[in-house]
Amino acid sequence: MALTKQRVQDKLEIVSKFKHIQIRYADQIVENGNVISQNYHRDMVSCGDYDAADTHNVRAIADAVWTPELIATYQAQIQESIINN
Amino acid sequence: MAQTKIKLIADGVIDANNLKAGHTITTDNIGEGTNLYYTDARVGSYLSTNSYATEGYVTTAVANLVDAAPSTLDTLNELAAALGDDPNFATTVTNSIATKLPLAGGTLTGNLIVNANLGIGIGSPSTNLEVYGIEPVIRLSGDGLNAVGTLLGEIQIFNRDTSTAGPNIAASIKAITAQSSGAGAHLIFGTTTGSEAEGTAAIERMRINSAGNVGIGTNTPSEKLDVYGNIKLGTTANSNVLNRSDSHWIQYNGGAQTNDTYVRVASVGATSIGRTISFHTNSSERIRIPSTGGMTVTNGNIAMSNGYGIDFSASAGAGSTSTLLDDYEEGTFTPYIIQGYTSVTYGFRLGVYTKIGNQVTVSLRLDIAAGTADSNRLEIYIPFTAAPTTTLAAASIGFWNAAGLSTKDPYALVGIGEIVFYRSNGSGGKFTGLDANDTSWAIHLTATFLV
Repeated sequence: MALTKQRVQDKLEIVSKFKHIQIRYADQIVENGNVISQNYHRDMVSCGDYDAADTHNVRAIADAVWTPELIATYQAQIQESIINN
Repeated sequence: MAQTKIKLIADGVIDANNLKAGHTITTDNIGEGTNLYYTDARVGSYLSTNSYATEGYVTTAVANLVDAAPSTLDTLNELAAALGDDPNFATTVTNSIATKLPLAGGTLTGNLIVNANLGIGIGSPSTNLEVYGIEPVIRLSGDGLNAVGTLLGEIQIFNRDTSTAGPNIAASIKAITAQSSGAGAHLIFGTTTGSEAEGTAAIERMRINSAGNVGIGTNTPSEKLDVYGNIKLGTTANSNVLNRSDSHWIQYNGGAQTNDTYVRVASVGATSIGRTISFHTNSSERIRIPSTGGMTVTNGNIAMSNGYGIDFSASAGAGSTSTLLDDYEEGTFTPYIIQGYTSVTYGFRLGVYTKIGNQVTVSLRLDIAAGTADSNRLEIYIPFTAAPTTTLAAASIGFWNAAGLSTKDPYALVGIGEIVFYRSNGSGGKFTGLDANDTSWAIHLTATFLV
């Protein structure tokens, strides 16, 4: 059977108090249904970045964990950092 | 008219025709003793006195003698023939009976041959020998003769086939004394391979000794089950095998192949394998624990299940998260600018990471072909979430190359899923935004931080 290559989301993590969505992809080489090799690739969707959530197909998770208040707090924290620095 | 008795003496014939008319001759008229006339009583007396039998008497006597016997046995000749014409029939019968076993019991001095099923306690035995009763027992009662190894009893299965090395004892079960006195015994099970010489006793295959230990391949079992040889366990022809030889094997043959997956425990053998434990799968050795200690993964990787790792605790029970390496991961990511630059056109981008426990090292290259700076800080995505504290920054920056900005004093912090670059305007203390001219540049960095 021929070798096939596939990318799967094999781990999703909600990180930090702003509930960024951390995504791990596994690029897998599959033979006869068995993964014979794989490499990881990571990405993250920041709180409030719905476009990225759609891109990574985690919109449902984003909707579940992000609230307008949380997004506003995160944006305020970013601006505060800019101002303070 | 009164009859006149007359005495006739004549030489001739006297008949009624010679009598006077009106006279007849009757027996009543004939006097006794005249030889002319005998009364029934006299005839009877005569016959009795002279032992003469009448026909009726004889007929009756013969009938009584035969007494309705069958026609084939109603003559003396037939009776004699039936008795074998043996004039000493009674003696013959008596002598013959004397050789038989009484029903009440006795001693049989010769062979007992039964050409039918023999039932003991059962009227219709269905096998050659069937013993019936409440908890029936067959006892072989032997005499130990105060010697070890004396045969106490044996059941032999004999093969009368003479075609090959036979007839022979094909199998046997026997008990021998275990001690010179007492009832201790070993129970021995034997079979023959068929190649032994005629008359060879069955070879011992298994023994239950007097202590209850079972030995297979050994007649001195020291454990409850002591096997000199291999043990195969399972439900298929290719099943688990325990091998006992110079090298001991615990082998699982679950598939069509054999001898491909096993644990090898070598007590002796070649230097390279002596006193080692090795694990083999799919016909390849995977792990070895050598005689000198330690462990080597000879073919394959070590994978930890989620939540488990390598515990470096100095002593048992002292483990804590600080001594547990429970995570290792390496991979790639695509760095991008989260904030601080707009209308970005990226050039080459590549990031790699390695996570060991709670320590992450990222290395990235991010080429900016075009864009507009809009902030005094530049946030670039990196994987994992740094865990800085109020007193300890989770950052270690290796390199930042901002072409044309050599007079600036950049530094960076690793934050939550990002690395943030700040740059000074050179006057100290206060940071300004990136120059509008910084439209083509690249970042190369390696950072190590805690998560």
